[in-house]
Amino acid sequence: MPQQHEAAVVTAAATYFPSFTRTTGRRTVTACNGDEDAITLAVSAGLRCAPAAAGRIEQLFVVLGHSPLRSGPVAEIIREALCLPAEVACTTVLDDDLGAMNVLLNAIDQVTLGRSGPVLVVAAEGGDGHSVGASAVALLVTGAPVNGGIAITESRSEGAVVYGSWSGDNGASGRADPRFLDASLTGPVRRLLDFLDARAAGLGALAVSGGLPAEVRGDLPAQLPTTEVGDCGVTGPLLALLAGARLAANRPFLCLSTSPARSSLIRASVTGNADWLPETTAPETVPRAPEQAAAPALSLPPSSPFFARSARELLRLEAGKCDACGHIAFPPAQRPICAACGGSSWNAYQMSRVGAVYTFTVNRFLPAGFGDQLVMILGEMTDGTRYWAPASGITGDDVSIGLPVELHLRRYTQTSGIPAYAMKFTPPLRPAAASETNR
Amino acid sequence: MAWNRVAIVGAGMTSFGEHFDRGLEQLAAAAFLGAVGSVDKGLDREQLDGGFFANVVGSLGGNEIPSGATLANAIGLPGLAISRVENGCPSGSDAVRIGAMAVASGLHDVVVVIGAEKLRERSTKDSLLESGRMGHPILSYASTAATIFAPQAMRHMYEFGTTRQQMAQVAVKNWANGALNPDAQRRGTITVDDVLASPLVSSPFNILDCCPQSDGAAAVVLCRSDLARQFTDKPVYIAGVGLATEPLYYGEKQVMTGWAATATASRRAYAMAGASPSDIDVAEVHDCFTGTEIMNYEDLGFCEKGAGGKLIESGETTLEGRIPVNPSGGLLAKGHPIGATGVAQIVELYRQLRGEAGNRQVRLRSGLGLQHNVGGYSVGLSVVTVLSRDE
Repeated sequence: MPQQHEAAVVTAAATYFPSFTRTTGRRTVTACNGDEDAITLAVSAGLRCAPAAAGRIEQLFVVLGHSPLRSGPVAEIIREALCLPAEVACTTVLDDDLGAMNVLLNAIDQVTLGRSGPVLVVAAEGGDGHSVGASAVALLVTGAPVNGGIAITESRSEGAVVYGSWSGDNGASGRADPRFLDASLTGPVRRLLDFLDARAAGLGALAVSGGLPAEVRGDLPAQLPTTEVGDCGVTGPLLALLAGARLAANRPFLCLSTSPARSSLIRASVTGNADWLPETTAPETVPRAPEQAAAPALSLPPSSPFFARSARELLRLEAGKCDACGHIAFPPAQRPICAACGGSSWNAYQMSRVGAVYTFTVNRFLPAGFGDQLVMILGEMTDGTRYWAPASGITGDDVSIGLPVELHLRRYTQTSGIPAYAMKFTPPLRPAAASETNR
Repeated sequence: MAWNRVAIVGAGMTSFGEHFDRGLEQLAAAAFLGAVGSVDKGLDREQLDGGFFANVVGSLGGNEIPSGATLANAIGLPGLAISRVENGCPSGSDAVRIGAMAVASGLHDVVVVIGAEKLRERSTKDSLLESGRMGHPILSYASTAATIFAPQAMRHMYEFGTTRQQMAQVAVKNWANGALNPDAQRRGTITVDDVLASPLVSSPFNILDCCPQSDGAAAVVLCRSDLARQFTDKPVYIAGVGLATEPLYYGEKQVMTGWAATATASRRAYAMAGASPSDIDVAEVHDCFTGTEIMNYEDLGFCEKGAGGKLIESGETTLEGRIPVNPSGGLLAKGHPIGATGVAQIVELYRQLRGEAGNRQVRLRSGLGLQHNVGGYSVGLSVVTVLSRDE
């Protein structure tokens, strides 16, 4: 007789949307700042999701769309920036529109069966600037006992050999006829909806990512509240899950994720209160062109041993705190001996990321390879430390001494093809629209 | 102590500017010949037993990475003991300090200290590109000479109400002095309005708040003070030297309205010379940017912290004022060929303290002059030298 396990559930969630939109023709999508990308978006969402749980997380599943780095330490950059220990196992999936739902189901299975402790699932879509918007979602999957969360009770998917949009190693890429794609989805989606009984009474919502075939749309029961998330690339399935959870309140709901080659449908429900569910659409955005992230190569490439030695301090903003006298030293890799007491025993110290401009300069005469203006800020942080960094999303007209600022991970350069990440000053973000379920 | 006292007995320099027709070796040799030729009673090359060579940008490229041998060969003395000194913007003054230590210790009797630099071997943008690519790849990201001095000026304005007009007055004063110096790179006349109307470089600094990029060389001959009278009846003595470092990166600096290193280096130099700021007749200070000179006034003790803006406004640092600063035109007008700069400041003070500075001669009372540099890639060190007319 199979052992009965209490199913793992999603107990915390966070979303992050960059603050720009870009319009091409009639279509408007959220777009990254010039120095944001799928990796920084993943970090922005991940840090907002259950920071208190960081010490318990055993696995990190990362799904990225339009990642600037396609191989190499993609997940490790994100893990380190999320302040997760080196022992946390990482899995990366690139450019799979249903990948986020698959890794979420996998995480739930592993946790349910007791094969893993809590898993953080992060999906981040860098967007393409015209048809796929940029966004990120992070979900924490926790095993029993929990005080509620999003539980997935059933799932089913169906695939077919259909070329929707594709690209190959030789640079060839293409998109299929949209009417062909719509028609080829009709059968599979109809069968999935029938199988999970979309007509059942008591369903609270149908949430859709990737689009509903026209014929199926006409078949749906009139009383079933339906919500669709726009073209969100790899984050679509998770945004749809959260949108369905918000819409259905405490009734069961369906979440359909379609892509040309495969569609997936789950049945889920929220137990306990639903106040913690984050926004699933972009907050206020500004319709301006993203800032150019022009920058020449760094003095050392990100692939150099220097960056391996400096990863913790640059990605986590981790200083050294002197064991003997409490003096805080940054960058710790270059400060082996305490300037205050001569000691050389250090503990890791997370520097504050919230503060105000202490002084600044607006540089208009930059070395070749940069844009035409760069605001550099010395911030005085709430813990009394100071940090010097370029600004992102703060112009020379905005900046003044005393202006509230925050530090967030941003890309410094991608010259020579390898992105390098460290902290930059941004305007304060909205308070995190996420928290954990009460526990 | 058994230290020898150290005298300066010769000084020379090339003009500063764009020497497209002369290389590093030719500039160094011209300064060397100028210094040796200036020795009143003559100096035989064979009497030199050591040398120090200040040069900064050579490490970044050029026909070779300079060393002591580069200078020895340039001045026709292969075999001479010469070290290259690279210590940021204070390289020239540090070379003088180290030269003085070599003589004071008795290791050498007569040494030549030469600073030489070829910044204009590259276009302005290219040399800025190099600076933006040096240092810590993240903490020094996009740094230029302006960004490593501008934030202090912004904070100084915020805390003390220092104005852009006061900063512009520094440029006006130093250009006016430079107009009297045939070796100066900039010899025009500018107004406060010219400075305020010039294009923004890095706030608060406009183009005319900045020193130019320069080629040039300067040299001095140092010897044991008991040998000085063999060479001249008017030696100038090195009365005090001070070098200090400070926390390096912006996040580490405690002082952001000036430079802790300047305050410490000057205290050390004053103490060694047995002098105080009010004893100084004339000063050559590091005015790479206008705001820097204002903060230097305070760090060097010429006025209280925060009163630097008022001091320039008062006119007390003009040639006729209580404490003339940068009679040579300073870095702003004379130019800033980095390794040569500190040595050239000593050259100017040598001439001033001997009363040979022509139409920019300041009035001497105590016969003490002060030299100052502050720099290093993240501005972490300062050198201050006190010179005396009297032994």
